[in-house]
Amino acid sequence: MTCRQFHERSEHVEFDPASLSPEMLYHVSVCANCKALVEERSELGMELRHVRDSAPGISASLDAAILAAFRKQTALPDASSSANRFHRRIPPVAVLSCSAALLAAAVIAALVLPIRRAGPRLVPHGTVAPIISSELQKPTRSEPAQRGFKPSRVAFRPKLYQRDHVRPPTSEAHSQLPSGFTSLMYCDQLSCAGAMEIVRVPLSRSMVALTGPTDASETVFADVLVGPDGIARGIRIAQ
Amino acid sequence: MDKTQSHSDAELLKLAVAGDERAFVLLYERLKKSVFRYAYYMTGSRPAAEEVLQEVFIALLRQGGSYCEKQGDVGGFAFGIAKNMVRRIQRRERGYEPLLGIERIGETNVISEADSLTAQAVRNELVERVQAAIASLPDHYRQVVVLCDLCELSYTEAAARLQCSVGTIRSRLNRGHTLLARKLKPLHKSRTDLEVSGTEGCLI
Repeated sequence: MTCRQFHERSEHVEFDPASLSPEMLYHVSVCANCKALVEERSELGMELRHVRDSAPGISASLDAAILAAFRKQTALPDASSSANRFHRRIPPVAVLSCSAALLAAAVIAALVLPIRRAGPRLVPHGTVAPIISSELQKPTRSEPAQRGFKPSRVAFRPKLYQRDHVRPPTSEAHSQLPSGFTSLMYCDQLSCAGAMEIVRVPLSRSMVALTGPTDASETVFADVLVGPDGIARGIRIAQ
Repeated sequence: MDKTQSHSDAELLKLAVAGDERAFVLLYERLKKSVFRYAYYMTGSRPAAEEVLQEVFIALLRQGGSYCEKQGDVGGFAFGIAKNMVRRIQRRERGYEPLLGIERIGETNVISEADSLTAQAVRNELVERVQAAIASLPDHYRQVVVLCDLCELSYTEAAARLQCSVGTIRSRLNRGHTLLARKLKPLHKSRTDLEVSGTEGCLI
């Protein structure tokens, strides 16, 4: 037997030197290299056996989890199968046409809705400012109260004084607040859209000091222009 | 004796898909060891092997309806799913370095009374080195070594799983063993100092 023949035959032998044929055993006894090969392979076989024996077992919790998954899977067979049947029934053409229709509806809605929203803003610019001024010129409910004003009661409920509704100032009116009002924030068509209210409030002493030299004992009222978001747009000293 | 015991794997799968719990349990008992071992030795991680085992049986239930007996046995079908799952996990874990020290905590064998602590430690180290050497083999050799040597499948079964001839399995196994022996040579050096096998240098 040659070494080549030995190597070819040893491919079929699984690491056990006892399984070698007498012919192969004789060759091993006379060839150091082939003997080394047999020893090496038998050593490798022993190591692989160690690895095989050291394999971890499957935990009982995993068995239980898999069984639970099976029960869950089989718990609702009808629902899943009916859902699958439903999906199978819809032809792809119908799905495509439905999605196209939905897309078209979304596009139309996107085009129409902004126009309809913009509708009330198309008020003639000139009409807004006079309305505000006339509203402000009207005697308010607070005026009679001011004559017989009792500061102690009012100080706790400032919003009861006056709430005059003003039509929404648009475009230029937004950028320029009604006459006499000092702007408290930047206003344009986008940021200051919607109706505004005038709220008359008593000012604190510190605020009075800021607005100029006044008698500290005098009560000062201010009209605050409040937007629909509750943020003050402008202010003017009323009294 | 239970009737389901005599059923083939394919029949058990059909019954399990139909909701028969006993059939499922029996099929699980038949296949779990080989699937788990394959996944464990291919990934080198117990949690990953458990994930694969769970996914394989869930997939068997979901795809069991499409199983065709002509294409192969249920073990092969399950093995195909496991193989894909292992690949997916290997792709997912490619960017991470394994923390072997932590992962091995739960995997250390229980020390028997006969084994001394030293012997056990030496054995664990040997097992780790061999596993690392197997993991470093090229995939086609590793598959064969794992299936034939560690999962104890016959050449025919391994050939059916990997969809190749028995001859290919034999030659791959032989080359895989040669590579493994070469990688593990430093481990043997204390005992023997032998050259790598080969016909070169033989006089006879």
